[in-house]
Amino acid sequence: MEAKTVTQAELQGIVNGLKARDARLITIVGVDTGENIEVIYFFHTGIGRTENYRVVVPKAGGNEEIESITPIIPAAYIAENELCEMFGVRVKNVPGRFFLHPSINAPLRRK
Amino acid sequence: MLDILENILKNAVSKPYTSNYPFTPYQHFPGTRADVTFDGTKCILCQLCQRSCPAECIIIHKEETTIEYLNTQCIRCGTCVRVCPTNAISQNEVYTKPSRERLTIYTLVTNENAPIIKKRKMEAAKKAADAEGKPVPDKPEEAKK
Amino acid sequence: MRTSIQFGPQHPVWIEPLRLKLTMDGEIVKGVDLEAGYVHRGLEKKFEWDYNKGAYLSERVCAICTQHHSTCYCLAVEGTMAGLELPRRAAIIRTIMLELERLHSHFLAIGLTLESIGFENLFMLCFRNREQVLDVFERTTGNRVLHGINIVGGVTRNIGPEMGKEILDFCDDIEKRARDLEKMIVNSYTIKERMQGVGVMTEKMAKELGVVGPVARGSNVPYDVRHAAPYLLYKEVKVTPIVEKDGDCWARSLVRVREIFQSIDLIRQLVPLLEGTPDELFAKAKAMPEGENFARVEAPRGELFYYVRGKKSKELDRVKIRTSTYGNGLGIAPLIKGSYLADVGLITITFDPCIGCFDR
Repeated sequence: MEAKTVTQAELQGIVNGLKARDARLITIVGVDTGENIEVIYFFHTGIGRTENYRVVVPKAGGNEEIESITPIIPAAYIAENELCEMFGVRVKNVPGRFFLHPSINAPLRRK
Repeated sequence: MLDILENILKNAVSKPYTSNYPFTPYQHFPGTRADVTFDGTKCILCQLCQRSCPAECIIIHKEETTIEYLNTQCIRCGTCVRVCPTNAISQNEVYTKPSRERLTIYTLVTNENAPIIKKRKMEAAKKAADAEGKPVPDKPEEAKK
Repeated sequence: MRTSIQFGPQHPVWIEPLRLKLTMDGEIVKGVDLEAGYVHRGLEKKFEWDYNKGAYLSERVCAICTQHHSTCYCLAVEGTMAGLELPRRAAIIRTIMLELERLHSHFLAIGLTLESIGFENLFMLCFRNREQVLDVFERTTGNRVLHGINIVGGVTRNIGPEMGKEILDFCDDIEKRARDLEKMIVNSYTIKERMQGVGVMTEKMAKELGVVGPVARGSNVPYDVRHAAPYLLYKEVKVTPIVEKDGDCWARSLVRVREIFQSIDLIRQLVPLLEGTPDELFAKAKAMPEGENFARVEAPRGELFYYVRGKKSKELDRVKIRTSTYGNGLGIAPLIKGSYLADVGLITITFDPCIGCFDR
């Protein structure tokens, strides 16, 4: 599986282009690799073809913030909600609570 | 109209589809999975089943040479049957009845080839040979030989 | 004046707990508040253990689509291990089990839909037909649900020539029963009148919200993973998606009824492929999992997606599951707003929600 590493500003332009080509978002995955948190976006673009993009967010002791793609693709709302809840990475205009009790914070993040 | 009349007649005459379960026993197919029995004469205490059990329900005690099997925690997956190198584990086909207490089964291992049992036997034989070769003065029975 | 009604965590219509807080004005629903998390077990954290034991844990995420979860996990992990090739006989057996799983899940979904509109007799008939499918599972794998025959590298139980002949006899028997059931549902006047025009999802809404499975195919979006990204044996046995145009509850149920016949046809094409293939059932692993991989599978409720990352040891680094009910979760609230209170149970049950998959 290949994934291209892009910055956050480039990602908005790429997502606009994909929406014009009738692509479909599959999901958004967060991975904790020790020093950074990687956010990977999966898109389905044709029969047997997928495109994946990776954004690297350096850890800053809680409350990092990234841009949201929900205004362009409304299907990303539920995936970004889970990313915010499990890893503590804030996303703009998305509330971060769905499953967990208010006393638990970011269980999947490693110390 | 004719369809419904035929259906009514068929339902009025035939037997019910369900069987009265506690009185007629349950017919199981060959190859169904139930709990697991250990054979004490084949086990060599290698602990491979303990390491590959997903539910962590087998505990091997090496000093007392017993296998402890937590029956109510077992998920009947059959991984231990596949992994055992001496085929000491076999899977039954009749299920265990529901009960109110937890069920734990202990099996004693008596295989001569298990490394711990072999070592203990060799040490006991060496001690007996030592005691026989050098008679100790405060033991009058051995001084006779 | 507005009243609020709890469509509470326990309700006879659903199998698992989910909470909907409805704000009503007379008989019409004006606002919906969805709250889930009653079955949240934190499984994504537990998956960071031995990769062999993970196959048994992934089955227990959902009890109705177990074979799809364990197949998807095994496909994702086998892609990260270099030099591991799946034997052909294992691929055919996995595909036959996947199609049998789709049969029993669609019988359950149709039965529950009919029970929610009050037709209890047909619900009992659907479950009577489902028992025949569960008998076939018990004869081949040993269990009715939670089969446990998939391991990383292949399968553990074989389907011999006599078992293959019994499966073909079973296909004839169940096709006759399914034709009777279809005649009773499609030609019925009362069921059609109750379900047509209720809970309409337009094609534009279906494309924007990213719904999957029979919910999307009932709204004229032909998305089926067996056709869009073929895996296992679907490269040789072609599948065309079944599409309906209206987008209401009647269209979604009709898609499920037609997919039963498509699955029986696929099983009849797959069983003769078993003769002549060599008898090898699984391949031994030569390397540890390293790198990242993802796999997609068409579960009875939609598209299932697993992402796996290994770190060159027996334990895995990260496993992410995105189930089909999680993808459909955004579509429940816009459909319920503006409908009658008596239709809320019917609309949610035609989505076929599996809350165990939703919460993980």
